[in-house]
Amino acid sequence: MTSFEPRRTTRKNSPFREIAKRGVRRLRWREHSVVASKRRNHYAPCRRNPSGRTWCLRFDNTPPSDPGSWRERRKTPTTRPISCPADAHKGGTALSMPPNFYYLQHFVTLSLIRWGLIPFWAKDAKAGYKMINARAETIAEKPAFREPLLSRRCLIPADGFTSGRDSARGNLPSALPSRTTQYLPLLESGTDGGTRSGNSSKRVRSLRLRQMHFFPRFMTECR
Amino acid sequence: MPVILKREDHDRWLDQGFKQVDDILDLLKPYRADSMRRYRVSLRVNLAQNDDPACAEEYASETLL
Repeated sequence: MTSFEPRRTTRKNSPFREIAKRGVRRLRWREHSVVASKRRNHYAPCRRNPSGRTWCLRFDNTPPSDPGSWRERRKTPTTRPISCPADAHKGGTALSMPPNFYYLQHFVTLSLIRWGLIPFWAKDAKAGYKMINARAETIAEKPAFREPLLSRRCLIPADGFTSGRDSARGNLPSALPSRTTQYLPLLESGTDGGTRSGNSSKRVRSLRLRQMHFFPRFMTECR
Repeated sequence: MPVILKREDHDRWLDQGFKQVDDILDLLKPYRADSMRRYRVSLRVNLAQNDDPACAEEYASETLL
């Protein structure tokens, strides 16, 4: 007898509830993008969201429930700085220079750097956009990586990474977080004396990891 | 597969006096894939603009029922 009864839909498991939730989310996003383009640094009351409480725009690490900070991130260049880790027991330095530029000599320090390697022959830092990956098999021979491999190395903390595979629908990404937090060893790049035509007093260090953009959390987890 | 250093190799990797190319290359070994978990993520991750933790969440198909 019970088997002929239709499945009871409660408010919780109703498919309409799901649809309703999605609809709301889409609406909010659209509304948000309008708001964000008009006002940058304030949360914005508007018709659908008179309190304005949820649209706070800020730069800090993204809480997933806050689309405001995502929007803000879109305006930052794709090569925004990422952090470069240190081993705490070696003792960091107390340098007060901007973290992007301070130089690692005898200390192991933590700093913000950009992803990408600027080869010594590069005329400007844009070359760093192209050199984002090195192959372990050829790293010792390639002129761009030979010298940094010997003298400028760093570690980068990461929770995981994506690797894509081509398909008819495009690149299908999948994330590969390791069970424990691991570090990716990477070359600390940059040119000591600046690029050839660039300002030689300004040290540019550029590292870029496109695949890691979706892991902003690791920036706060390392010291 | 990116190189992921073992914890005991971190010090050597960061040591600036460590300049033996062969020894350095010995450190650059692929990580063992069986100690990782692999799952599908959303296609959103292909756009660098989508820069949020949701990109790392496991992807569930769009169908409702």
